[in-house]
Amino acid sequence: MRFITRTRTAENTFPKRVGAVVAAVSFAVGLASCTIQLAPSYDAGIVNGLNQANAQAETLFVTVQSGVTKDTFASRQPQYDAVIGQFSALSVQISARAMPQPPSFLGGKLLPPSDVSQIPLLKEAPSKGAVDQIVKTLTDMRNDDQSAGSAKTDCSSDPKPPVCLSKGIYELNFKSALTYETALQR
Amino acid sequence: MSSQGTATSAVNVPQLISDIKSAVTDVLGKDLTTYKTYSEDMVRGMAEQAKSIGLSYAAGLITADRRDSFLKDLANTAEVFAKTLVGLAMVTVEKVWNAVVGVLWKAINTAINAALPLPVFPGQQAV
Repeated sequence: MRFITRTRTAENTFPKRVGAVVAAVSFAVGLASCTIQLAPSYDAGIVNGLNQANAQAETLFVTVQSGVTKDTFASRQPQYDAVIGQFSALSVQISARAMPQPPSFLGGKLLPPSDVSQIPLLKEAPSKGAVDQIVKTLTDMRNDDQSAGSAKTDCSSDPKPPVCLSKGIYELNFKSALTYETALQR
Repeated sequence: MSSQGTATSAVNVPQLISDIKSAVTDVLGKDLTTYKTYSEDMVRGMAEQAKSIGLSYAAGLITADRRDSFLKDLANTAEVFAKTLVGLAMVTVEKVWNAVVGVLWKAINTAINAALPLPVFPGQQAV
């Protein structure tokens, strides 16, 4: 309404005002569409999935740390399968997300052949490696549980049983995955 | 400038420097705090994990095969740590570039009353 009123009272200024608006919109669109992207887009679904899977994994650690025998493994197997499956699905989700190509100063033709091994460094999100390691760790822990169970422990002091060592590796890799995925929210 | 007849104002260099500094400082201040915390947590955690694997094996709580498996896990974790730092650095480079170029091109476009596209990052296509 304000715009219409002005066109009636100051008709001579109308073309200039329209031009200014068009220029401003063009500039804003130009800014939004031409920024560069060197890392994947933030995906709230991945971050939420990581947090949900982490809650399941920590619950599993608490269960096993309370002391379990291999005879009762069957009752825990669904828990293992669910959390391993969830992290596996997250790995696929991270892989499927578009990954910007590395800039030339870090990879490709600017690197000498001796540094070719460095090129894949940025071809996938580092959180994929972290989640893949989590899947391996939980799978190994499931095998430990199935074959020998686990004595009660609070993992607070050395020496530690296998479940505590699994938990240590798990938490380091979870921290890496969550730190990176959260940093993509820019 | 006069040959194009489009200049409406000059670029205010001191103001531009101030704006760029502000944009870069905002990005780096926040990101470096994140990196420092993450890096310290990971380094401490990996060192403690190495100690625990050794002591657990020495105490007979894990087999030699399991020890080797945990050591492989630790090596993979160190690789993930290094790659994560690189990935975080790329996010920061991206943010710094976009912040600096955004400030610069806004000033230029304002000065010449135009809507010039942002430059393409070296070795990359604009998205």
